[in-house]
Amino acid sequence: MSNINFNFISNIGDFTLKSNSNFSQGVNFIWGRSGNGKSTLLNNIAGFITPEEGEIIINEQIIYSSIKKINVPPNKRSISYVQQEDSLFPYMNVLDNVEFGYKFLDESQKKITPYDVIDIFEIRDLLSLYPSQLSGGQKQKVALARSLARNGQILLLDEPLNSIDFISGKKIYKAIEKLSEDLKLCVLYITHSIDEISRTNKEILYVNDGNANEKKTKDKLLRFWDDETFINEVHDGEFTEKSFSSKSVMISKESFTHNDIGFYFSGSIKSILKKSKSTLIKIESDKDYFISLDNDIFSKLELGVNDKAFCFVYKNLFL
Amino acid sequence: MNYFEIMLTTLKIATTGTLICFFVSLIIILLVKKYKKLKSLFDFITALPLALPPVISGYFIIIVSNGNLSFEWIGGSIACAIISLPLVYKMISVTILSIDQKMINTAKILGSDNKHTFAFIVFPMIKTGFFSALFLGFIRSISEFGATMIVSGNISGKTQTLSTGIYTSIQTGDKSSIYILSLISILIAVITIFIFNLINKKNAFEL
Repeated sequence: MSNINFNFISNIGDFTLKSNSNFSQGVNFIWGRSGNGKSTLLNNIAGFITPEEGEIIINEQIIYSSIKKINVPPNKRSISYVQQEDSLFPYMNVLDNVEFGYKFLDESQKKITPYDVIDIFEIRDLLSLYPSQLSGGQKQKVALARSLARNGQILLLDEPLNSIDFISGKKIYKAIEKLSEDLKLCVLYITHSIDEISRTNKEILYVNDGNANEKKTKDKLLRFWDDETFINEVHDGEFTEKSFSSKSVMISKESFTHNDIGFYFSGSIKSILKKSKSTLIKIESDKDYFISLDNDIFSKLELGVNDKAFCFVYKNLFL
Repeated sequence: MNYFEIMLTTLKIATTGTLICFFVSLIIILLVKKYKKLKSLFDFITALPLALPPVISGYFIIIVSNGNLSFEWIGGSIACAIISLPLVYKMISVTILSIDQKMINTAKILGSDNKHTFAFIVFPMIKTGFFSALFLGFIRSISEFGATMIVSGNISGKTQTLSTGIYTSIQTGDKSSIYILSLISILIAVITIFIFNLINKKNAFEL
């Protein structure tokens, strides 16, 4: 069974990351604000950054130890990693990109083939295209397929669904979840999205101000937003009678139509958490959705518990 | 005048000069990459030949070599290398400094060792820039006159190039030689620029 343990300190310029945690098989979320060290954490595990001191162990094998002076190079760490930014090789077509890591594997390491992942992510039509010919979402799917075809012992995902539309994102998340079960894979998944977090029953690693050593349950984390303003920040927008729309979300007590492509849902408001600056509302629909609104906006909408709410979302980031 | 011999001498001096310039630029840039404090100094030194009259660069080569390179074709090549240095150094510098570390990291985490990473990731990233540097150096060397004339002179059958040959023909009023040598120069320039554009176009399409 795939697992990872780490306890290290890493410095980049003035920023220090102190991390101490462990994860087992399944999808494990890492959550925190931008610039607090989430990507730095994964880059240390991948070997792109060398920690100052500490230890990283994957499947009982030490890949970094300052005491034992072990530092396994990235190409020998057997890690699949999807980075936040586009990192497809521009000179290779989609098929060559997906097959790139697979050709370095021994027969014993090959559990899933490039064509398996090509089918999972539904990118068979794109195989002859070059990255410059792909949309942001397609690039993200190819990057995911390529990293899974590498057959790593653990999978690191840094906001992998950022450029993918809501419906595709849901399908891809389910595929990742299934693969982690089938391949007994430990997945470390960085996200900003409350919707993604709401899918897990596992504890979530909360990264804050360079500290990555505190795990919280989903419910605790959602309450923990008390002094946080980063969840679904909605401050600027436009009111039309009793509805409110911003660049990312539209919410109303009455049903409405929208010309843009996006995701509609409606449901009843199950709870309202009102804090000093913002209000978090939980809407029960096919599942639970969370939307945070500025207090002024929330009071103008006159929403209450058990009220029906109609929503339209442009980006999955907001859910 | 033996036009074929003049053409061969020109190509030999220009090709050798381009290669010397290319490898010297590469070594300087790798040094600069390692010792970043040297960057301003080398950026300044390598830009000097652009600002100075070529005859000064030529005279500098004679002084430094203690006259050993005078009237030798290799002296002409070194003169071409120094005159081309600002262009070649800048082109290679931009190419190497723009290598995307993220791509290299991605290749490594996908299991690629240094050899494969260079062959499949780094080389495709730098090849256009390196070809451009070589072509720029060659084009500049083909048309070089001042520094080459000072260092290697204008010895028929030994160091006479297209440029110095045209100069001699103008001095003696040999119009047919002027036309033939000019035509050869134009042909070499056209072919070189055509190949340069073709390679650039191909690489741009691949991207």
